[in-house]
Amino acid sequence: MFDEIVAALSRHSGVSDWTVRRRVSHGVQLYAIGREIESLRAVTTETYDLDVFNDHPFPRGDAAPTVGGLPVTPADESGAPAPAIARGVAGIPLALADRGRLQHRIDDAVLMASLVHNPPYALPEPAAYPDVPLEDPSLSPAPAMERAARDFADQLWGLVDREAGVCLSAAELFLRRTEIELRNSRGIHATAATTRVMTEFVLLAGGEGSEEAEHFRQIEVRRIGDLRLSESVAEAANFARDTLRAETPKTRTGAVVLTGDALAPLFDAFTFQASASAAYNKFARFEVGQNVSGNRPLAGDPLTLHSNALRPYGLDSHRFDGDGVPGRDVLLIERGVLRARHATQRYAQYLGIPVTGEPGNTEVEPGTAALADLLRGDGPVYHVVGFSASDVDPITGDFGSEIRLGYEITPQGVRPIKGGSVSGNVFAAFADARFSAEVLERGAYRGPSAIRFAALRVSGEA
Amino acid sequence: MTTPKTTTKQQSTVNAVSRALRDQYGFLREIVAEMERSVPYASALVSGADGVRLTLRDGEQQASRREPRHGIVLTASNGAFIEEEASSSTDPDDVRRVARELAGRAGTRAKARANGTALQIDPGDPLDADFATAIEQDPAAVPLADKLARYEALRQKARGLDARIVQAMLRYADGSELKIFVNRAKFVTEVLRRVDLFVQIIVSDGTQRRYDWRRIGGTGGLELLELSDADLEDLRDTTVALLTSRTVAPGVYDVVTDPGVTGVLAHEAFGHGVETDMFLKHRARGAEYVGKQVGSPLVTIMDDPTVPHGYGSYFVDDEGQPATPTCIIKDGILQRGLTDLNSAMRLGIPRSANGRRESFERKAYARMSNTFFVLGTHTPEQLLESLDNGLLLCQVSSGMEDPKGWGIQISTHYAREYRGGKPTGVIYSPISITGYVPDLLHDVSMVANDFHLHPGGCGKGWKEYISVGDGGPHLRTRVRIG
Repeated sequence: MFDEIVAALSRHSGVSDWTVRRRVSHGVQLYAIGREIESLRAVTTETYDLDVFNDHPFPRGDAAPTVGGLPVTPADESGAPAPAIARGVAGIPLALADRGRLQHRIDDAVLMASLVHNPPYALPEPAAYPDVPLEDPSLSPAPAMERAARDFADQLWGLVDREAGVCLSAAELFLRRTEIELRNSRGIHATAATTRVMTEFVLLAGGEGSEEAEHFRQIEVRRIGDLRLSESVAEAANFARDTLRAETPKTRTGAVVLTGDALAPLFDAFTFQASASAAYNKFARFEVGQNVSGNRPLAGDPLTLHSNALRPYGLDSHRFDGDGVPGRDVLLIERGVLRARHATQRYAQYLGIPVTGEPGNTEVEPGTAALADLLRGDGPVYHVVGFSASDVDPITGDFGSEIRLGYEITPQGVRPIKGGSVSGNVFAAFADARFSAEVLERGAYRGPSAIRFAALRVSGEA
Repeated sequence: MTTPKTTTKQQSTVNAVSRALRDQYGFLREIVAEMERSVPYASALVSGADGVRLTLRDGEQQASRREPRHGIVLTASNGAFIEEEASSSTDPDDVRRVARELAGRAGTRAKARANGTALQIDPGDPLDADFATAIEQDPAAVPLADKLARYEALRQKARGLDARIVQAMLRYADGSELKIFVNRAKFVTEVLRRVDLFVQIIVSDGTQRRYDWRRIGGTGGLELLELSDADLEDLRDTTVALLTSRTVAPGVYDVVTDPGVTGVLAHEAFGHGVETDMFLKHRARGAEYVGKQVGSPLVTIMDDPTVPHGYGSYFVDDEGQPATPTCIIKDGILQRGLTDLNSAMRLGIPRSANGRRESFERKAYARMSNTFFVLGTHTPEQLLESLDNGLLLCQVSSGMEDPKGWGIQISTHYAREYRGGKPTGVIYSPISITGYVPDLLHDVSMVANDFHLHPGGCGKGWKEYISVGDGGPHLRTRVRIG
């Protein structure tokens, strides 16, 4: 079907450029309730995504060509004359069922593209692609996946059995291998094979009477071995047992240390603000060369953040992005100052900055303090290991999240806490933050395993 | 119980699409019959989607077709568990091959559960029917150029309302979702039509950026997507007001929730908490409270996929169960849960029509449709006038459930301060609400007689996203805010 699509696009007079991505995927999904398999599923898909470009004059009658009310100007806004030609693009997904109506679908795409008017930009040309390992070879051929899923269930049941006071509520495992093939009208023909492994499991801790508490854990990696199931089950069991005796925290403003799942989502706001699309669409709050915490004096460790698509088996690693731009490692923020924006092919040209492609994994330079030191303090320190949902506004930086589990640490001892919320502004908070020397690698995040913020609001009991 | 005008069945219209689906997928009856020679129960679900999406803003226009997600899932019970094969190929020869492989494999597995019992799946009452959303203005009949012109004009109108607006973004989507469900008792086709409009403006005072949005939509046609000049001016006013918003002091507040916040409260508190797959997993405290008081007698919560124009409405769920309303809480007493086929069968309780899938690629779970508080007797103004020192919580932005601990997290974009029953003009942003669900529901002291249902999306944990509606009237209660 790929060749038929390419042939149809190549011969269509209304198609100025094109990109086609094919994804062929096979996956196994295992669902368990307690010690029983609830469901076993196999999923096989083949899908195509097309970007169909149509170059056309700006609509007749426009005295000054505009796009969405703005004059169309070259990307560097140098004041050069507006281009007479607009570029429209239509995104068209195709399923196997579309095979018999390929021409109709492409005609429809051309019509859509001819009706949207954007500043022109060029597609990427062929390039050398990095050899980033993204595939777990143990998950192919297909029968190996079901064996791996069943082995996973057996291992999980065994590990939970070793833990006192907890049992498995439920577990899900998704194994998926995908072959990606990308071609464009400029001659790019790139391929990649990737695997993704995702598990969710819930442990229940039982107390006196009918009292119970749970801990939910979701992990997504490229290789099944990277689940580090033994370590994850042990930690989750501890968290489930601690949740059982956790109490509501006291309302206060003070030192809060975030670790584990509570930590990584904070950086999404920085990655968003560092994007060329945010700048182009006027969402960005800081420019290249500016401090990401505004004019607040830096009182803690400065933030240095990379977007790295090249880390072996990183969840957001890639050989090439959706346009066919090679993956790379980009320094976005250095010692608290925005150094560069990550920019896709389109927005890079709109802003006149280097193309970096879609963002990769978030990598943050660790600090020098040991976690144990970050958890010490004269007053109470709240150590949050999990929020119910991490809710960071990428435009304003405001956040507020319910504590699913944390610990109040005082000279008198450590007490588990849950409920209440932690709130603040992420850009302001990083002006006074200290990073641990210990490193955590989880999902698409690699960086300090703990960050201590000097003063965040905790809302709980009076 | 006072119910809103929302519990009548949607009008169904059999059209040419339904007939074409029957012609194309009639062979599935034979496939199911063939599979049931090897396994005690089999079914097939074909799903697909199509539609247009537009994104318009300063300096950029985007147009795309929706992700098609066209494919089939075949289901077989082997007596011990449910086994499925999903494929993006719906070619009859491919489907027959996959069905043979699945039935063959399932037929050779264990025939009973670990406790010695075998799963007994009831295919339900016979049903041979076609359903389609009734629409007035068919999005497919409006040329794309006209849609672009209409919505770009709307966006420009919003963009020009204030000099402090630095960006205005509009997203439009229409969609047609097709479904064919077949088991030995049923052959059902369904064509759902859904529309969605989102307008966001961003303002700047030179030192900060603030934003607000309006989202409307539902099952139906373009007639649902009318935003008036007054709506846009209200959007401008709240967005500009957010430039002077303050940080709220943590504490416990008397509050009135707007219908959007009310809806997410229903959704998170006793929507997810009564999905009966969570009962099976011992993850829902609500399982122990069926028949017991869990909230104020003023609290009645429904889940209803038959709400006309509801964003989460449908005619039949993804496991063939015809849509009917479910009363979750009546007068403060928990009535029952929302079921998928598997959990209803294993728990031995009657099914509700809540077996839903993100797509053919994903498993069916017990999921909500349109979840809402039923209206009361006071006017919204009476609720606000009763706030001696409190907050009107507006514009919900997210929520998260905790069915085991009965905790709740809801984020709203802002809150308006009320003193002596009057707005002070002070606006706080953002607002994080946390609390213990029974406390929050027991503290419901007034329920208004207005009713609005909002379009939304819902995940199960962090995945399995589906379209839902949430809503209800204004409520007065008491919550902890951070």
